[in-house]
Amino acid sequence: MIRAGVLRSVILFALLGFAAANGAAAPGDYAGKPVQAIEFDPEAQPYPASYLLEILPVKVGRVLALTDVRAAIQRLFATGRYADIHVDARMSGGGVILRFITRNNYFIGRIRVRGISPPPPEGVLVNSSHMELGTLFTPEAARQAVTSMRTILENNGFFNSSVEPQFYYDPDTQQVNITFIARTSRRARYSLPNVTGEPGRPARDIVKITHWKGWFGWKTVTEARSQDGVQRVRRSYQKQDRLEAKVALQKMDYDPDTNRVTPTLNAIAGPRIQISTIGAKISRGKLKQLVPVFEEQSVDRDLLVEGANNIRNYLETKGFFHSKVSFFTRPSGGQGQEEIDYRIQRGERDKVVLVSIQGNKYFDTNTIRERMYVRPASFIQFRYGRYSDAYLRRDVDAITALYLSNGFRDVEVTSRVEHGYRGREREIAVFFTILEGPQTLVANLDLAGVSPANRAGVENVIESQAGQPFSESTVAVDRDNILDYYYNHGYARASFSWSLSQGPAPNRVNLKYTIEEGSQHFLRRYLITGLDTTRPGLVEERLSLSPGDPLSRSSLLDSQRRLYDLGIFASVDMALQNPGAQERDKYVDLDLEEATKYTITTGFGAEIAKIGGCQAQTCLEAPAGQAGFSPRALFGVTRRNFLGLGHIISFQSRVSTLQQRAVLTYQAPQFQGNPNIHLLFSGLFDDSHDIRTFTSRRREGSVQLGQRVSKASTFLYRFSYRRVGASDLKIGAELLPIYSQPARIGMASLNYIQDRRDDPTDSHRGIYNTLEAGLAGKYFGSQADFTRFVGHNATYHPFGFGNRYVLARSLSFGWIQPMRAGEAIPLPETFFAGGATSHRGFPENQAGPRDPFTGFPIGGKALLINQVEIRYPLLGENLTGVIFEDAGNVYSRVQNISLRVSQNGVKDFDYMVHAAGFGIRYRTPVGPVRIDLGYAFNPPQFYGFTGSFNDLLICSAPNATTPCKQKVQQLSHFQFHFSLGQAF
Amino acid sequence: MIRTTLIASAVLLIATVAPAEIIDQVAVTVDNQVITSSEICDEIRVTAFLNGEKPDFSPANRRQTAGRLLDRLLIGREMELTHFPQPGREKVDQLLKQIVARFGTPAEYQRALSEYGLKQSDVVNALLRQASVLEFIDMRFRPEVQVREEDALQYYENVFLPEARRRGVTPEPSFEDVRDQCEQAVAGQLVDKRVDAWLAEARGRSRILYEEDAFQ
Repeated sequence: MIRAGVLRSVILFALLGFAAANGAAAPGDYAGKPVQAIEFDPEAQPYPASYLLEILPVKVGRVLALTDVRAAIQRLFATGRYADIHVDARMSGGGVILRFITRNNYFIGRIRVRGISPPPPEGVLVNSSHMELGTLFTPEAARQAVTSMRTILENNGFFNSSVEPQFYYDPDTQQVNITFIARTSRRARYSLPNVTGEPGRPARDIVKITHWKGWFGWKTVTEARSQDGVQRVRRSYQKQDRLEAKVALQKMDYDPDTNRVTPTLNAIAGPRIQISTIGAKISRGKLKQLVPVFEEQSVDRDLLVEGANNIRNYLETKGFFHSKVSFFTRPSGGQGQEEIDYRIQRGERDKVVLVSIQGNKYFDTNTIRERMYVRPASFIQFRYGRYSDAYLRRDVDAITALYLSNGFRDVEVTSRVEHGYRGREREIAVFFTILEGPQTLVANLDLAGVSPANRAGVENVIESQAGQPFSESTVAVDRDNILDYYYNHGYARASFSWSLSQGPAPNRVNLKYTIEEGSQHFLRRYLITGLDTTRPGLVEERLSLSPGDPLSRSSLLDSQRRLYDLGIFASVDMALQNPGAQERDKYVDLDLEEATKYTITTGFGAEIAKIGGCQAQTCLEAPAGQAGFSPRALFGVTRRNFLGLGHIISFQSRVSTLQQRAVLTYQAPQFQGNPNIHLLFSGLFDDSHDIRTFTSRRREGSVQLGQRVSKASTFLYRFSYRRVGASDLKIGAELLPIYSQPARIGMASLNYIQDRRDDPTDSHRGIYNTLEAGLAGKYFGSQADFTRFVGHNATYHPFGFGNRYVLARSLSFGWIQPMRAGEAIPLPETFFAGGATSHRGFPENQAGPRDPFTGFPIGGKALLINQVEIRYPLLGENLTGVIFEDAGNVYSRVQNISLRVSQNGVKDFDYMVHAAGFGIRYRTPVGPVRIDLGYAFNPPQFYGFTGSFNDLLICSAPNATTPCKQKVQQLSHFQFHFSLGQAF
Repeated sequence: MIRTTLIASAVLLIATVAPAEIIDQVAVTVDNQVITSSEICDEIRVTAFLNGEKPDFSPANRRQTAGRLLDRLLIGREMELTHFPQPGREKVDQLLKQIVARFGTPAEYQRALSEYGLKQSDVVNALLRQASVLEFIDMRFRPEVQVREEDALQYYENVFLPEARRRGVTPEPSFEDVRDQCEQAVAGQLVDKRVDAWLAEARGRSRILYEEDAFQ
C-alpha cells in the first residue's frame, strides 16, 4: 500500500517538474547539452533517415549549438521538399533529444482535362493552366488554372461551365496528378453583332464578312471562329486600301435565356491609302512584299522610308545599280483618301562583270566566295549579277567575321566599285581588298576551377589550345562545348568566364578559362505518367539513364528522342521534379501522351510515261511502248502500338491500270529495346503490267531483320518466299512454255547500305553505296536455284562558285547466275532497266534483250549502268538544271557485258547505249520535281512482229515452216521523263 | 523501497512527459531559402545592442525585423549572382572600435554583450553584413542616379536651411558652400527610391510566405 503523503509529494514533484520544463526553459538552455537523439516527425521523410542525419549539421553525440539547428533547417529547406519545418527539443537525462517536425511540398505531375468535346482541344486547356511539369504545386496555382480554363471555355461558347480539379497525391514521390473535370452545357451560338466605331460601310456588310452566320442560321461560338471573323473583316478593309483600319472584338455579351452571344465589333475604317509607283512598274504583290505598311497595317514615315530602301535594293538586284527612290504623300479624291507615290528613277541597267578578291592569303578565294552575296553575271541565274549596297556591306562584314574568327584581330576588309569597267559604260567591277594583318595565337591556356575528375574531359572539348589561332568566336565555341560537357555530366549550374592577357611575344595571348562547376546532380528515379495501353517496359527500355547516374542533359534528350522515335506518343514531356532546389538526387518526370492508334491514308494520282499501248496478250503492237496515262488510287490503314508493345501493323494498297498491289506488314521497330535493330514481317500481293512483255504475279511473304551498325551503315538480313508467275506473255512460242510456268522462289539475302549523303532527296555531297547478295536454292524451298548480286555506288561532289554546282555520278552493276547451266530464271526475277530513275535513254523497263519474234523486252541476267550529271543553279533558289550522260544496258548474261557502242545486228542487245540530255528540277518540300529529256545516240533496233498472236504461235513454233512477218523497229532517240526526286 | 520506486517512476514520468519546446522554426520562406525564428531574434538582439536599446521581441517588431532580413536576403542573392566581393576588415574594425569606445572599457563592453546574449563574432558579422550591403547598394544603384541642380537647391531650401536655423547655425551657409552635401543627400534619397523599387520587384519575382505561427 502506498502512503497518501508519499503519493501527494510525488505528484507535486511531477507537476513542479512539468512546470519547470514547460515554462522556464529558453532555447538557449538546450545549447551546450549533448544531443542524444534526432527524430523526425512524420517518420516517413522525403529522404532516408540515414541520409538526413548525414547532411544535417547537428549530430548525435555532439553538443548542441543553436546555429547548427538553424543551419539544419536551412539545409533541409534548400532541398525544396519541405513546406514547413519546426524543431523542438526536450531534455533527456543529461542531454537533448531533437525532433524535426516537417510538412512536405508537392510537385505538379500529369495534368489532364476531362469532359470537353473540342474545341478547345485538351492541350489548349492544359497549357492555359500554366502548371508546369515538376514545379512546385500550390493551391493558388490550381485556383488560377480553373479561372483560366473557364475563360477559354467561355471563348469557345461554353458559358455555363464548371471546372473542378481532382487531386491525386502520391506521398512517396511528392507528386500530385491533377485531373480537371469540366462540365459544360450546350455550346452558345452567335447572334447579330453590334458594330461600333467608324466602320465606313454598312454594319450588315461587316456581319456578312465575319461568316458567323451560315446557311442554317447563326453558327456556334468557338475562339477560332471569332478570331477568324475579325481577321476576315481586317482583310476586307485591306482590299479596299484602308491600310490603317483597326478591327477589334471588344466583348461578347452572353444571354443565358437564349444561350446566345452578342459580339461587339469595333471597326475604324481609316482613310483609303493607295500606294503606287511612278517611273517603274512593280507588281502589286511585289509592292506588298517591299513596303511594310501592308504588313504592319499602319502608315508612318519610318515604314515608308523602309519601303523606299527595299524598293531600291530590289532594283539593284535586278541590275539597276543607280536607281533612286523617293516617296511623297498627298490627299486625293474624296474625303479620307490619300495617295502615296514612290517615284523611281531606275537609271540604266548595269552588269557586274567582275568580283575580285585581293590580298587573301590564309583563305582561298573559293572559301571567301562561299560566304558572299555579291556575284558576277552568269549565264542564266544572275543575268546582271547580284549587287547592292546592302549586299556589299554584308559581304565586307562576312569576310571580316571569317578572319576575326581565325585570329586575325587586325583584319581590314574594304570594297571598291568601279563603274564603266575597262571602258564599257554599263559594266561594273567590284573589288574586295583584304589586309589580313598578323594572326594572333594562343600562347597558353589556363583552366581554373576544373576538378581533377573533369579535367581530361574538359580539355578534350577545347579548341583554343596553345598554338591555335585566338578568336572570340572560338572562345564562344569553347564556352558552349565546356558547358555542354558539364550539363551532360549532371552539373546543371556550371558557369564559364574567360579573360585574356598579353602573351610572351607579340601576337601571342594567354587565355584563362574560369569554371564554376557547382554541384553535381544524379538521377533518383523516373516518374512515368500517361501510359494507358503502352507497356511500361517498352518505355523503360528506352531510358538512357539509370538511378544513380549523373543527370546528363543529352541523355535525357536522347531518351526523349527514342520515345518519339517509337511513333506511338503524341507528346513526350520530360522535366526535373523540384528543378531549382539543392538536392543531389533528382526525380525526373516523364509525362507521355499516347497518339491516336489508327491512321487511315487515301490518295489519288496518275502516271504519264511510255506505258501506253494495248495490254492484251494478243496485242503485239508497239513493243517499245507508247505515251500513256495511268490513274492510281491509294488506300492504307496503320495500327500503331499494337498490344502496347510499340509494334506497327500496316496495310497499304495501290490500284492502277498498271498495278494492283497490297502489302501487309508487321513491324517491330527498336526490336527488343535496341534502337539499332528492327524486325519486319510482310506479305505481298502484286499484279503488275509495268513491263510491257507480260503481267507479273507475285505473292510473297518475307521476314527482315535490320541492323544499323553506325549512323551511315545498315545491314538488312532478309528471307523471302514467293510465288512468281508471268502471264499474257508477248513472246515467241519457243520460250513461252519456259517463262509461263509459275515458280516458287525461296531466297536468303544480305543487304548493306551505306548512306553518307547530306540530303537523300537532293544530294549535294556524300556517298551512297548499296550491296545486295542473295541465294535462291532448294534448301530454301526454291524451284529455281540461282544467285543474285546487285551493287550500286553513287558519289556527289560540289564545286564551282560557292560550291553551288554538283557533279553527281552513279554506277550500278547486277548479276544473276543460275546454279546449273541453262537453267531458266523466271521472267519477273530478271533485270529490267530504263526510265526516269534508271537509264534515261530508254523508256520505262525497255533496256536489254528482247524477244526475237515480238521485240518485247525479256530482261537479262546482268546489268551495268553508269550515270554522270552536273547539277547547276538555274533561276533563283528553287529552280536548278541538270545535264547528264547515261551509259549502259541490261545484258543477256554477265559474260556478255560489253562497252561496245555499236549494235551488231538487230538481234544483238549486248552493247552499251549512250544517252545525253538535260533536265530541270523545281525544289519542293518532298524533294525536287523533275523533267528530263534524254537523247540516245545508239538506241537498239529490233524485230517487231506483224500479225496476230495466233500467227506468232504458228511461225515461232520450233518446227515452224512459215516464217514470221517481222519489221525492223527502233527505240526513239528522244525520251522524256517526268518524276519526283533526283534520278539518283 | 516503495517510496524510492515511486520517486524514480515520477522522475522517469517527468522525463518521458517532459514537453518538448520549439527551439527554432521557419518564419519566412523565400523560394527555397528560409528565415528562421532564431535568426529574427538574433537580429533583434544585435540591432538593439548596436543602437543601445532594449531588445523588443514583440510580434510587431519581429515581423518588421523579418522584413528587413528578407530585404537583406534578396540583396545577398544579387550580390552572389554578381560575385560582389566582401568588404575589407579595416572598415569593420574601425566601426567596432567606435562601438567598444561607447562602453568606456572593454570589460563593460563584454558585460553588455553578455547581457544581450551576444558574442563578439555576432557583432562583427553584423557590421560586415551591413558594410557589404551598403557598398553593394552604392556600386549597383549610385551610378544610375543623376542629381539635378534644382533638386539639390530644393533640398537646400526645404530641408537644409530649416534644420540649420533650428540648430541656430550662424551665419547661414550659402547653397554653394554646401552644394556637395545637398547633392549627396538628394543622391541618397534617389538611391533609396531605386533600392525600394528594386526590392519591390525582387519580392514580386520570389515566392514569399510568412509562417504566421512564428509571429505569435
